[in-house]
Amino acid sequence: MNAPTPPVLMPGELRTIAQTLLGMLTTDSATINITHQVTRVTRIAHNRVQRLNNGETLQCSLLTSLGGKGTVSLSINQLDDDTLRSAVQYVERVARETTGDPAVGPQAMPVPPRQYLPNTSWSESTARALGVDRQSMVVEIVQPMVDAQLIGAAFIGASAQSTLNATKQGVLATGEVTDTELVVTGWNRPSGAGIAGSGWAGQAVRTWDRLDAAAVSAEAVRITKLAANPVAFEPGRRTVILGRPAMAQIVHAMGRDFDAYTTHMGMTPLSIHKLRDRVLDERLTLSSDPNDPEGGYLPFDDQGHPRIPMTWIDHGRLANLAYGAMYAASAGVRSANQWSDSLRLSATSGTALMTTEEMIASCKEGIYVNRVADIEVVHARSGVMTGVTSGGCFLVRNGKIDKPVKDFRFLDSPYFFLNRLIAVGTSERTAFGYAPWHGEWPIAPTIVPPVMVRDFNFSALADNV
Amino acid sequence: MHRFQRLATRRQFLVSSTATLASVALGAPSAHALGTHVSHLRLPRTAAARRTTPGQWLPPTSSAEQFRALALVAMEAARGAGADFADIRMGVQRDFAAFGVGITVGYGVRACVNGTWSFQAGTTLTSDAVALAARTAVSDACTASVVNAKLHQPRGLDWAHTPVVSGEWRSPVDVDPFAVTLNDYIHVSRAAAEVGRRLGEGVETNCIIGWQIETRVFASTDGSLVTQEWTRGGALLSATAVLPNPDEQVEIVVPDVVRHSVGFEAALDPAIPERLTVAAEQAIRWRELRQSPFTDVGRYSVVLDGAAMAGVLGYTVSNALDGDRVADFEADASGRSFLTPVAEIVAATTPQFSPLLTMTSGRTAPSLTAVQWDDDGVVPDSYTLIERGRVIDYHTTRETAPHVAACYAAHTQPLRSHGRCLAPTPGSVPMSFGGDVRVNPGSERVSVDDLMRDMGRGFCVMGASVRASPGLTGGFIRSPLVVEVQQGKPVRRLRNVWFAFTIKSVASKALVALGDARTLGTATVTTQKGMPWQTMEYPMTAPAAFCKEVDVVRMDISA
Repeated sequence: MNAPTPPVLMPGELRTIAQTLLGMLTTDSATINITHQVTRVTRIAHNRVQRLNNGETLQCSLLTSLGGKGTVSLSINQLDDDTLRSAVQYVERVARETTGDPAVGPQAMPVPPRQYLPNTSWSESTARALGVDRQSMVVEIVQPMVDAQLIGAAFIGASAQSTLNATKQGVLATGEVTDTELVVTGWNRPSGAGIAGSGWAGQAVRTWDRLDAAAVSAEAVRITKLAANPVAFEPGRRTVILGRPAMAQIVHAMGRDFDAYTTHMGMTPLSIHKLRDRVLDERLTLSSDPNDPEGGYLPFDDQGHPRIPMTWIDHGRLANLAYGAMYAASAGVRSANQWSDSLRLSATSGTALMTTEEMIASCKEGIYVNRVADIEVVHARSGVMTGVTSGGCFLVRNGKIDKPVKDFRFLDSPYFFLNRLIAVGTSERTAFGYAPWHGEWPIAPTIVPPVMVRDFNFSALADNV
Repeated sequence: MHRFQRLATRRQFLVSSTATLASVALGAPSAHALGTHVSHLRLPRTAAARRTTPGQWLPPTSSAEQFRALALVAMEAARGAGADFADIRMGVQRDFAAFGVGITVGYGVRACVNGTWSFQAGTTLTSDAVALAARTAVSDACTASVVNAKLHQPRGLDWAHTPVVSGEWRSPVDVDPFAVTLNDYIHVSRAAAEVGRRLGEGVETNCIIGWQIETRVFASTDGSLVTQEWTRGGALLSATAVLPNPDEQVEIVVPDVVRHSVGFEAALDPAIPERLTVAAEQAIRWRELRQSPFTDVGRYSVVLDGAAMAGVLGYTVSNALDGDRVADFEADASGRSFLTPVAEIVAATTPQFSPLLTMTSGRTAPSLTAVQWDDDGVVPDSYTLIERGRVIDYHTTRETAPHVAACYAAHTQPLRSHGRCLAPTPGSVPMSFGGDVRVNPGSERVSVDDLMRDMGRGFCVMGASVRASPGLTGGFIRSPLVVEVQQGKPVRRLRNVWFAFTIKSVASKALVALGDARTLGTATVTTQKGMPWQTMEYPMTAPAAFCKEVDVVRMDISA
């Protein structure tokens, strides 16, 4: 039996295209980036399939320097020989007409061979799922909603992407990634005036076979029923239990804080700190690892620089900043580790862990937030961000969920409230759902625990419908 | 892209025009060799190169005839595969801005089987590829329809009927922006810069210029086949009153000249120097005020200039009238609408908003959104959304119109699409959007200064970024230029000040007065819709407004 055709161009095919282009280019330096992505999406609204959306993007970018006088770049989405030849002719023509002679100028130096970690972000299961019927899980998602007399909306997404980075100076990095995300939102049917209340659950994994639609749907049903008929509750500083979906949204927004250049320019919350200063509670560690079994990512960046495991915050103390290649060179720093979108926030070893249920049981009065949305960093130097609770927000009293409450807007900084930590749980990769404030879908894996903190700042009520 | 969009600024224009336009595609003039690309061109070095036209920098593309032929192949394939209905959008966007060029090509097929829909995008322009895309769309719709049958859920509402259409249409243009020379672009930019130099007084005037010409073919299995050529572009004109500290200098954007369905004649408008001069004089006026940090949080009266008011109403009220939200198609994405259930909204005895508010939508030239047929093949119409504070209609497409049927029934009108279907690129998923939305100005002669005159202590907001809360019933305003007003007079400029607004504070009881037509300002309403999300944009125009009881807040809290 023949192996199924891969959904995207594989590394060998990408290398052949890159070698063809680099062979044609006569300029002294050139960079080729190729990305091929296929997405398969099912959207559910009102307990039925609303639409299947299938997308495919192919982008091949050529970039050449103009003898130290700038660059010309262009990208194409057809890879036949005629188009490749035209691309090269175009780049060289633009180079001539804007600088005279692109060959005159400093010569780019050869790059020594680079070593990359193995790529662990590809799943054959997901690649296969892109080519077959993926609709069987729709019934698993929707039927529990129907049975519970709720209104359900859901998103099932799978993607595969292959990437190449190559230069005339000898860099060659290729890799491929798969990802999947399942998100279920439920609404109670409105009875009279007011908001009926909604619940949210999701799962994001690299491997299609690990998606557990029944479990995600059951969790969405459970939270939605709990959230029925929320009441308004006074905002203010309160003890809060932030579920993993809430923490993922917040932690993902912290990623860029570790960029060394912007930090040294005074533009991040870490600018006022030195390495080894305490920035979070000492029970917390923040790291990235291309081979993280839950949160792996390609072991090279978009310029072909290797990405290696990094610890950003160790036992609450600032451990490393991320140096891009240019800044590392100018700062005389040996390492050129770039920050990664993918983060793991976890309890340091030896910390007593609590489940979300145990946090609720230990809380005299507070708010349990399942998820937050609409994240915006409003003050870069302190990391203060705002957002809105969404998909389940509850008043906790005397160790139990007392009642659902209407959504809040919050205004706080993780560098503040993660220093007011009461309890922390185990870390897992968490889905994001609709989150354009974090970039394009799929969003890089973010592995977080639930936390309980005191004096979290709910600044206002936020009507959600 | 982020939902928190800065409105009508140089940065936004660069993002929405130059950056995406600044690309290069290539290929021979066959249907195969087209590309999407990103390239930043520098000003050509030689005089000969500067005498060339943008069209000469853009490689040849497929012709409209080739697109039409491929579209028909796709529709034939969809019919053969058993589609109850299918349609396709196919074409090419060609861009030239700030000496960058670009081409984006693609297509998207929609297919319906037993009331269930599927969409397939593609970029390969061959008969085999488009036919495969069409068959895949039909096959997926068929699979999903079987799943829907298993769920025993009611069939989706049938789309609003629309007649079969055919023909061609071009934006009315006097001067083809791709037929003038690069020198013409350079002269316009230099003439704008000269205004500032002539004024002196530490003022810089700028012009960022760019155009897009798009050819788009729409075809359906019903037999519709239309071809349109849209020419869109213009100049972003601004004046900056310079100060040593860049954070304190004042930039004023000339209102209502950014991107329309116009040709290069818009850049040759003899009124441009005068409008730039007015903007420069405003920048100088505001620069005279000292700038200081803001500390006094509280609830104040606020004057929003036209652009700020347009942003506030666009991101809240107009988006809440979006058919996709009303139909709950965006329930798991950008959100639902507070202006539901439709039957209750249109039958309400009390107006939902201030009687000062009348809001309309159109898609006629020279609006940026002008087309002859939308991406459903529907001829767009103009309509009133809100009349004296009362909601009477919604933004609809063929898909969403049946979900506001109660609205048409209440007004004894036939169920119809308003022609607000838009696929931002030929390969994007078609969704609903607002068209060109406008709020009527006040009938009395009232300027921004007149609105400020009635203030004891309050603020005037000029231009703004607006972020709506997910429920669209309120949000935040952040503006690069906020002036504190005491006893009717501006006294200082403020930095780092945010306004938390609710619909009640800006569109209902607390809306006290609107400015006249001279105060009209335009904002671009940018929303990410769908899962995965895609960017949808439309222009919104409104007069200045005086609102009371707006919360003024600080966002730089400490630990």
